[in-house]
Formats: sequence, structure tokens, C-alpha cells
Amino acid sequence: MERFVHFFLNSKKLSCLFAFIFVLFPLFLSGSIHFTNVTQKYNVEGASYFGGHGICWVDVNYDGRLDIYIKNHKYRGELYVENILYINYGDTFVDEGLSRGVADAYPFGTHGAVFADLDNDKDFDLFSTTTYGGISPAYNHIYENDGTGYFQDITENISPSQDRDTFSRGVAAADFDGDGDIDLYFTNPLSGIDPFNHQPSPPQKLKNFYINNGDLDLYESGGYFYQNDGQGNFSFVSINISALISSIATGDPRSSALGDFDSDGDLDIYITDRVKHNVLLRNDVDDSNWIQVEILSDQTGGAGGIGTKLCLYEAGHLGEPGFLKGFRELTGEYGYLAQDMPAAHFGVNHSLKYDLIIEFLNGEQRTLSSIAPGQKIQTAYILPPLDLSGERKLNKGLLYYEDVIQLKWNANSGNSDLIKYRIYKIEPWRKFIYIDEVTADVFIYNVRNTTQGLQYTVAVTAVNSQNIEGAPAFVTIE
Amino acid sequence: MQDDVFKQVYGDSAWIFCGEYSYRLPFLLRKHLEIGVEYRFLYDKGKLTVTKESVDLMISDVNLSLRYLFDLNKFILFLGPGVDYLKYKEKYPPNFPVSSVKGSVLGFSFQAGCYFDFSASLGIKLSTQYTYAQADEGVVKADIGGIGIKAGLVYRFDF
Repeated sequence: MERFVHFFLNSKKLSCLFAFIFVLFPLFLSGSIHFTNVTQKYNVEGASYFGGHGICWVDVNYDGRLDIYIKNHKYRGELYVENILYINYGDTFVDEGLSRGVADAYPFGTHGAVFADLDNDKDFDLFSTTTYGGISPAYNHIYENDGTGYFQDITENISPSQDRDTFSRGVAAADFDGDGDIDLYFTNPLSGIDPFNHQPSPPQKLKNFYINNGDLDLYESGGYFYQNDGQGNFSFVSINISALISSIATGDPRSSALGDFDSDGDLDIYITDRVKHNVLLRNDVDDSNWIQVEILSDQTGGAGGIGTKLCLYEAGHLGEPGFLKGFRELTGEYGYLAQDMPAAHFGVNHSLKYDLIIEFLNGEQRTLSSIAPGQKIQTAYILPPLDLSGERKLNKGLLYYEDVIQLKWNANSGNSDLIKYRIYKIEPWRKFIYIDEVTADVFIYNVRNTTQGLQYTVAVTAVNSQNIEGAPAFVTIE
Repeated sequence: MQDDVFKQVYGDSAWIFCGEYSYRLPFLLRKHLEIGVEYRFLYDKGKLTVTKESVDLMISDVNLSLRYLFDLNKFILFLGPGVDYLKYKEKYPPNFPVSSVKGSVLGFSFQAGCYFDFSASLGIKLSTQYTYAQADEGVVKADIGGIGIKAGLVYRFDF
């Protein structure tokens, strides 16, 4: 590992390396590599114009499938190019950026973007940056998610006001000051420089590579694959692997993001290209040498668990440095203009079991033991109640009937020290309207005076003795 | 009571307290006709079907009936129709959408039974009665009549 660090920190090629985008991931742990170019099949090659810049994997509509957000930039004089939001429908993607309110076309396009829960309402909002190129306005923008994947530009309502032309590019979202909400850091590389001097600014790498005792391999956006020997020594992977040609053949690759879009347990790559079509590389490793951990949104971990740290150990050796098999910190944007899927992916040996320590933003920890590889784990600091269901009933007197929704749930054995459950009605824009709370030994609640024919979405959260509220369980009653 | 919802909320039956004045008509059908005016009052506590909160029900009924009598020594059998005017009120707990529902309705009844005389002035009355009365409160229509079984003391006097 020291050699790995030494290589990056002391190499004379450091400045050159930073001009590229590096993504580290446990791609090769299980051996063979096989990617297939499925760009056409999934209809994600971008628009008829080029100019692809940034890329985010994010499930904006909470349907369990990763969507793709692509930031486009001006290309060959074509201004006002729209961003793309590819909604994942399983067997294809559909660009719904315009209808969902995030296609805004700035004069010189979008550079950076990050999805994070900026208003603490447990969904992914969007912050995007733009660069002034001589045409105003060129403001950064914030879009509020209504909880169903539709966005509203609320830039005019935020403070500090975004009413000046900027030169922003990369952006990172994290709780920098440790107060439990998401802060934003974005670059402004050309500030103070003549805005009409179009000298290129270097891509801003906001989140550098992880220093990791696990076996993180390396992909150079639009370039080569490097395999880690587990000791931090990388070796170039032969050129005759599938998809490498597609990678190298990119024209001006700007960003790449990792996400398991086909839910097969390996990490796929989407690459944006400034001058050619974008590329989706599907990872075909097809084995069970992996563990994915998704942190459910709650007041402690924030949306997607951004800021959460995860340490994976060989089972029975929790906390022993020699048995650390992987460390991850969930972040917003990762690298220049890219955001990986908001989950931690570990490459592991399928014949072993593992223990996991999850450290949340507030420093509290959760331990999961004897995890078998080949599965995706959803967890949270305080786990949501299990088996939440809702049933419409008539609460009858002899002469008047009240429509009620009877909620039932089960305790989550992963929780301890709970004192109560809170019940919320979910209104548009994913607003949590507090209804009531019941003690922790009650697992049934009647939502009163509802209306037949109206659809209701209700959430139940668990609350511990420190009054920390956990990830919600949702149920929609037609 | 036979209403299904009544059974769910208040149970299978309820006590009704009654008082009746009856008068055997001296001039028709050889004194085989009797008219009666009866006041009945029901008060019961129940529980809402889902939340199990307490509710109260009050029904008062003024019944006017006409009965044909069969004299069999100490037994007098009778049967006949009647008309009822019922007032009702149900009170609900604080979390319920409404605090109470009240109203009135006309009903019809039919009764049959017998008198058994211990003496010239004392006896008992046993009867059964079916009342049809439907409270119409919009979407909710409740049968507040039903089948009742009555037992009571009879005091006869002349004037």
C-alpha cells in the first residue's frame, strides 16, 4: 500500500495523471474481465449532438433501478444543449430530462452536478454548475426533487443567491462541517481571469482516489484498465480484452461513473465523450465475489448514506487491520464530473464470510456479521420497520363510518434501544407530514379520517432513546 | 336488534326499557280490539369496529299499536300492527370525524304475545315484536328496529 501511495504522490507524472480521470474499483478480483458495449441496446448514446461531460448514476425516482444523468456542454459552437436524464426502465433507458425538469440548457452547458439530499427530505436533489463563456446568465442551479423524480428549479430561493455568472466546474457534496446536513463545494477555476480568455481550465478532481487495503483496481476514463495485485502494485491489462477498444476509441472522454445498472453484482461503467457518442460498458464478470452495501437515507446518514464509512473484515476478525478487506466512504460526486452509484461495492472471495463495520456521519457504528458474498445489503443507522403494510378499513359506529388506513409492521431485529415509532403522511414533493407516534411495543396504527379513492403514501420510522430517527419504511395504499 | 353493524359495535342485543298504556276498545269486534301507546328507550355503550373506542347510542321510540285479542280464560293472546316514531343519537370519541349523529325516523312494527292474569288487576305480558325502522344518514343506512322480546307486569284498572 505504501508503494501505491508513493506512486501517486511522488510520481513526476502527477500533474499529467490529474489531467485524466481515475476510477478505482474492485473489478478484477475474481479474475477475468469481460465488458460488452451495450450503448445501442440500452439507447444511451446521448444526443444527436456531442458535448457529453458529466455523468451521475442515481435512482431519482426510487424505483430500485439506477438512472443516468448526463451533463452536456457546448460543442463546436452549439450552445444551450440540454442535459439528459435517462430513466432506467429495465430493458431500456428513456431521456426524461425535459419532462422531469432537469434538462435546463445553459449557454455553455453544465459542467458539474451532484445529487444529494440538500433539504433533508430524504430524496436526491440536484446541484449543477455551469461555466461563463461570455453569455449570461451562467449561474449554478439547485433543483428540488419532489420525491418521485420530478424536479423544480429553486435556485432563486436559496442563499447565498446564485445570481452571478460563475466559472464552476466540479462539485462535491458532503457534510464538511459535521452538522448533519450536506454542504457543497464547487470549483470556480477561472475566477478573476478574463472571462473571454477561453484558455482551458484543468478538470477539477475533487475526490481523489481512495487509499485502501482492499484490492481496488483502476480504470482510466477513456483509457486503460490496471489491475491491482492486492499490494498496491498496478499492472497494465492487455489490450485484447473486450471493451477496451471502445474505451480507447473515445474521442475526448471527460468522465466515467460506476454503477451496477443491471443488478448482477458487478460494476458497469458509463463514459461521456465530449466529441463522440457516449459509451456504456457492461461488466460481465458474473460471479458472486462481491458484496454491495446501500445505506438507506435517514437523519443520520443523509440521502444514500453519503459520508458513511464502511470497513469490511474477514469474518471473525473485526477490527483487526491485517484482515481489513476493504474501506469505502460514500461520497457525492466522485472525480471530475461523475458520481458513482450511491452504494459501497466490495470485491471479495465468495468462499469466505465477512464482517462489516459501518460508521455513520455522527460517529455511531453498526456491525453486520457473517455476511455471505453475492448479495446486496440495505442497512441504516436505525433500520426501518419490517413488513410495513396498509389496509383500508371502515371504522364503524352504527350511524357513521370513518375511513381509516390500518398500518401494521414488524420490529426490525437489527435495532436496539428503540423507544417509539413515528408515523408520517407523505405529501407531494416528498414532504413528511407528522401524524402521530406510538411506543416501541406497538406495531399497529390507524391513520384516521382518510378519503376513499385517494391514494395515500405513509411512512413509519423508528426512534431511539437519543431521539435519533431512522430510515423510513414506506407503503402506498391505493 | 339485527343490524350487522349494530352487532359489531354494540353486541347481539341490548336492553330496552318500556312503558305502555293500552285500552281495550268496548265497541268494536265484540271487545276484541285493543290499542296501545308505548314508550321505549334504549341506551347502550359499544366500541368502534377498528379503533375500539367507546361510543354511546340512545334510541327513544313512541309506538302506537292496534291489537286483536283472543280470550282463553287466564290467557289472552294478541297480535297486531303498529307505527313507531323513533329518535336516535350516537355519540363518538374525540378523534372521530364527527362528534355525534342524531335524527328521527318513522317505523312500522308488528307484535304478538299474550297476557296472563294472576288476578283481576295483575298479570304479566309476554310478547315479541318486529320493528322496521331505517335511519338514513347519507351513505350509512342503519336498521334501528329489529326483533324484540318483551316481558312485563300488567296492572289493569277501570275508569
